[in-house]
Formats: sequence, C-alpha cells, structure tokens
Amino acid sequence: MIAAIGLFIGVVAGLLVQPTVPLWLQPYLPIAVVAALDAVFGGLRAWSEGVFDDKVFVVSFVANVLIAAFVVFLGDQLGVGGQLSTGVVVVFGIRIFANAAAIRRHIFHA
Amino acid sequence: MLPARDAVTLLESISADAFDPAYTEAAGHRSAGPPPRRPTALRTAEIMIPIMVLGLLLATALAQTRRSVPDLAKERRALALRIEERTARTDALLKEVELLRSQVAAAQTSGLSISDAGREKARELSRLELAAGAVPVTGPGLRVVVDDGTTSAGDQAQDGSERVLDTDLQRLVNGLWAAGAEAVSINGLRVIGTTAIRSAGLAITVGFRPVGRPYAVEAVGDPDEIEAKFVDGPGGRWFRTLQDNYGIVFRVSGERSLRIPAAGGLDVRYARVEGPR
Repeated sequence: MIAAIGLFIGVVAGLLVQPTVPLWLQPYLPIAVVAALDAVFGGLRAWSEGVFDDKVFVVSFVANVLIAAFVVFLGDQLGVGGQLSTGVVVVFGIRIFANAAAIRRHIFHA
Repeated sequence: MLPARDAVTLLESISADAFDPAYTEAAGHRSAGPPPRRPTALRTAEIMIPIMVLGLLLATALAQTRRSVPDLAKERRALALRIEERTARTDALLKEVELLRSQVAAAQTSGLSISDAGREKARELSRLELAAGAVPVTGPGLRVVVDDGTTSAGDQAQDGSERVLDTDLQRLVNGLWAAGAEAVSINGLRVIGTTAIRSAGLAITVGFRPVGRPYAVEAVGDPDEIEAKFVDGPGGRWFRTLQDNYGIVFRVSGERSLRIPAAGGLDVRYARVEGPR
C-alpha cells in the first residue's frame, strides 16, 4: 500500500516537473532505473517470503543505483561504457526475472 | 569446453543469488534477539522514499526518451529544409545570371554596332560565346535517356551494378562530343569542357548540382549524322553493353528542336589574356 502510493507520487511528480537531466547524467539514467527496479523486486520477494526488512531495502536500493551508475561511469572512462551498460542490464534483468518468478510462485503457488 | 560450462554456472549463480541474502540475515538477527524498537514513521519513509525515487527515475527516463525522438526528427527536417532552400536559391541565382548575361550581351551588341569594326567583333564574339557555352542555344539534335536498370532476374540482390554511374554519364557525354555535338545538357544543365560529372554518395552531380534519374542528355548537332555516329561510337557501344548486361535503360531519339541553356560558371581561374605586344 505504502509502496503503491510512493510509486504513484514519484511518477506523477516526474511527469509534472519533467526535470531536465544534464547531458553527462543521461547515459546513467536507464541504468539507475534498472538497478532500482532490481532492488524493488528483491524487496517484494522478501515481503512475499515474510523476511522483509526496511533497512536492508533502503541500503540495497541506494547501493544498487550508485554502484551500477559507477560501473557504467568507469566503463565510459575506459571506452567500454556501452558494453558495460549492456552487461549491467543483462545481470539485473536476470535477477529481476528470477525474483519475479519467486514472487509468482509464492502468490500463485505455481 | 570449460568456458561454456563456466558461462552457464555464472548465469545460474546470478539467478540463484538473485535474492539478497541480507534479508535472510536480518530475519535471522530478528528471530535471535528482541525486535528493535524503531518508530513506524521512519520505517514507512524507508519504504516510501526509495519507491518514490524509482517512480521519479522512471518518469524522467520516459520523458527524456520521448522528448529526444521528436528532436531528432525535427533536426532532420530542418536539415532537409535547408538543403531545399539553398537549392532553390541557387536556381534563382542561376536564372539571374542568365538574365544579366543577356542584358550584357544586348548592351554589347548595341555598343559594337556603331562601327564596322565593332560589328565584325560582335560576330566573332557571338561565335566564341556559342562555342564556349555562354549563351543558350537551340537546334536539332539527339536526346538520350538513360536510367538505372530494374533487376530483371527476379530477386537478384541489388548490388548497385544496375545503377547508372558518374563515369557512365561521362562516357555518354564524351561520346556525344565525339559524334559532333555542339552543345550538351544533362537534365537541363549545360555541360561544357570544365563541367564536372561526379558522384556524391549515391547521387550524381553535374557542375556540383545534383541531378536525379532518369538522366535526359540532350545534344545539339548535325541531325543527319549525330545519331548514327553516336550509336556506333564509343558512347553508344558502352551503353549497349550496359543495357545487355545490367538492364540499364538506354533510349536514343532524334529531335527537331532542342533548347540548351547557357552554362553556369564560365570563370577562367588561372589563364590571363596575353598583354599587348
């Protein structure tokens, strides 16, 4: 419930304010979104398994976003930013799917 | 051998470790000791704020992507518009050049017609102008239409061999000169000795102005012999080969009356008139 309200407020704020992202930050935005999604799915899975902990959630969220952005930044400096962002997206994608599958099993027992 | 297995285990471990072990650990701590007393407001904020940030990021990334798409299209349109604008401007300037040149010619004739020597000079001048391509001309001659071939062999890959190239047009024009053409134009652009026929990307430019297919090459010359001379000459032979082998369109027709415009840039850049001796 809290999460749904939070998501709603965030999306509405983003669509209303439409903040302009500075050019140097633009390549990291999609990566940050994927990393944040991963943390949220992790939290959801913990919730469904009854082991959710808000502190772990906050820490994993912030750490995910920052580390993913940093890895891609490092890749940019080394000239392999595109490949590294692909790698980050692949890894997070697999994690998101694995967690989503676990959540699905918990909810539907299937 | 091993690398493939390693890759599989890597992917497996990613999905196996997808669940953050920190959650289980925290749950273990909780069950071990008494639950830590923390205010509910803080716990709510700890869930709400990250989710809000996610929503914000999502919306921003979405808006960013949607905004940049029309930007790109707009840029492209603006560039195309600029090209059209400049081409139209060049066309207008060329027309102006032709008009001014005819005015100069009229003034010259009226000035030179005062004396016998002047009239003699005027006749020489008009002969030279005709030869140099400085004036539009009319006369009988030949129209040669060439165009890219359609790949006749069904789904044969379009490898570009069925296209008319700049060198083909060069050979065509040279063949027309060899057949006795006195004035030549491609798609209404006068071709003289210094006109460059080149390719720019996939397009062909004549005197640095782009021409589109089909290419209509017109030549004024002796109506009794230009056609036979051209068709049997090197230019005609080259295009018959292209027609047979690559399906390139090649049509020759004799014309009673052709109008060929004056050439654009007639500047002589390096040569100077020899001083009076």
